[in-house]
Amino acid sequence: MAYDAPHRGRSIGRAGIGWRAPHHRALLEQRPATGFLEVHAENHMGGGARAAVLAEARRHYPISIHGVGLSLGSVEGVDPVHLDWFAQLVAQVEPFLVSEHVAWCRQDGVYLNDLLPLPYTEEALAVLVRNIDRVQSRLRRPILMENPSTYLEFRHSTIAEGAFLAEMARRAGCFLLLDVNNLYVNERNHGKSALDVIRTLDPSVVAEIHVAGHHVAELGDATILIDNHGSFVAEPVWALYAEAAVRFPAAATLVEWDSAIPDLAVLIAEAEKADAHRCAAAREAGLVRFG
Amino acid sequence: MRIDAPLRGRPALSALAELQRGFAGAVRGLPDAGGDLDVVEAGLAAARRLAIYRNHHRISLAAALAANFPTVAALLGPAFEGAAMDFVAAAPPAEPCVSAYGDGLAAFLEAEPRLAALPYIGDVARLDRACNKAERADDIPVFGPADLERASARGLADLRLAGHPSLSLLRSRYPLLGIRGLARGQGANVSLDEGGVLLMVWRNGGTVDCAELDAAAYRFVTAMSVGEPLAVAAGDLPPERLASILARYVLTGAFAALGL
Repeated sequence: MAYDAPHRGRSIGRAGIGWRAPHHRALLEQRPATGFLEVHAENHMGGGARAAVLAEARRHYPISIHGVGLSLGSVEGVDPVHLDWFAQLVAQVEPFLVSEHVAWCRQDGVYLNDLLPLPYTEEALAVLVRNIDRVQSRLRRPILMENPSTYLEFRHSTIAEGAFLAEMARRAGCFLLLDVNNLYVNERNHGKSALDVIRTLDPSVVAEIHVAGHHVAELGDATILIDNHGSFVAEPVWALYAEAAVRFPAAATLVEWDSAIPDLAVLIAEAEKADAHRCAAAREAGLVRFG
Repeated sequence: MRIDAPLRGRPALSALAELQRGFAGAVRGLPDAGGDLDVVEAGLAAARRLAIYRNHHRISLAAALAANFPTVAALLGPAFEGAAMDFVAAAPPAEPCVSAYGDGLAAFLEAEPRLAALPYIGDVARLDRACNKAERADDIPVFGPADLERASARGLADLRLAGHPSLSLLRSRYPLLGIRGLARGQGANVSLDEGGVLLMVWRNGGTVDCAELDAAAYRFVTAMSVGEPLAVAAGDLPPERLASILARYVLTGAFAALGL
C-alpha cells in the first residue's frame, strides 16, 4: 500500500526532545519552546499519573510515538495483543509521527529488552515488509523505521545497509527515521561509510532524523562504540547531521537522551544546537530553511 | 520406517528463524545457545560481541526490576543486582513493557537460600508489586459517592462491586510498613515481634495510597472485592463503622463503577 507523507500536514521547525519522566513536571510548568516530544510507547502502557501527564503534554506539544517493542524484524511476526494496545495508544494520542526499529526483540514469547540486529538478506527484508504492512494496515497510516546501531555484523548479509533501508521503505510504503548517531556508531564499529547510507537514500523517504550521544568502550585491543543515549552529541555526529539535514530538509529532528538524563535546560540547549547546525548547513548549501 | 523429527509436522526453520533462536538463546545465556551465528569477527571475537547484547539484556532488566521494586532494592543494596539477574535468567519478561516486569519475583526471592535471613523479603516484594500495579493500572471509572447515592435508592443490601484494577489486598506476618520505612531511611529500628499487618493498596485520586486496615475493615473490603453483596460483606458491622469504612476505603477509587 502507498501512503502519503507521514507528518499529518504538520511542519516541524524546531528539533524535539524525548518525553522522559525526570522532565515531565518541568516541561509542563515551564513549557519551553521545543519542536515536539517523542514518547516511548511501551513506557505508557496502562493509566494513572503517567497517562494523565501525557494527556496534558499533548495539549501543549506535538507528539511522536516511538515504539521499541513491536519486534518488526521477528520471523515470529507481530504480537497481536501488543499491536492492539499500540494501536489504542496511537488512537488516543494522535501523534504526528509513529516510528519503530529495523530490529527484533522477541523470541518464543520472551522480550529481550534490546534492539537486536538483523542480517541484511532477502529473507529479513521480506519479514520486515510483512510485519510493517501488518502495523500500517492496523494503524491506517504509515510508520517510520529507524536504522539500528549494531555491535556485530553477519557474514551472510548480502545487501548494503543503505540499499536495504531504501528497499524496505519502497516495498513496505513506509518512511525512514534516520539516526545519524547510529550511522556513526556502525561506521566506527564495522568500517562502513555513514555518508554512503545518507547519499543512498531518497530525500522524500526520510521523515525524521535522530541525534544522540554514545559511549566509547575499550574491549582489550578493540574499541566499540555503544549507543547509550547518555551524553552530548559528538562532533562527528553533528557533522553527519549537517549532511543529513541538507539532504532531507523536510525531516523533523529529535535529540535523544535516555540515560544519565541531564537537567531539562541542558537538553533544550542541545536541541537548539541541532537547530543551529541545521540552519548553518542549510545556509552553506544555499538552501532556504523551512518552517 | 523411521521418521525424522522435522517430518512429524514441524517444518524446518528458515535461516532467519534459526539465527533468531540461537541469538536469543545466547542473549539469555541458555546452555548450548549461540553456536555459529555467522558473525563477522573483525578484531573482536563473536563471543565478545554477543556479550555486549547479553550484558545489556541482564543489566537493563535488573535496573527495571530495581525501579519496579524500590523497597527490595534498598533493603538488599548491592546484593539486589545479582538476585535480579538470576530472576531475569529464570523468568525473562513475557511482555514489552518493562515497567510491568516482575511477576513472580516475590516467590523467587523467598525461595532464594542466600536470602533466608530475610524471611519478610517476599512480602516486601509483594508490597512493591502492589504499588507498581496501582500506579500502572488502566484508567476505568471508579465507584464514587454519586454512585453510592444512586445505588441507595435501590437498596444497598444487594449492592455488588468489583475491585478497581489498581486494588491489591495484602496479609503479611511481618511489619511491612515499618520495614519499608526503614528502607526509605525513616526510623532507626523495626522489630519483627511487632507482628503482621493487613494492607490495602490502590490508586486514590491519582496517587498510590497504602493503608493499614484492622481485621474487620480488611474482611469487608476483601469480601466486596470478590463481589459479595454489601449486606453479606458487612456482617455485623455497626452502621457508623460501615459508613466510615465505605467513606475511607470504598469511595476513594478502590472499586470500579457499576456496570463496567
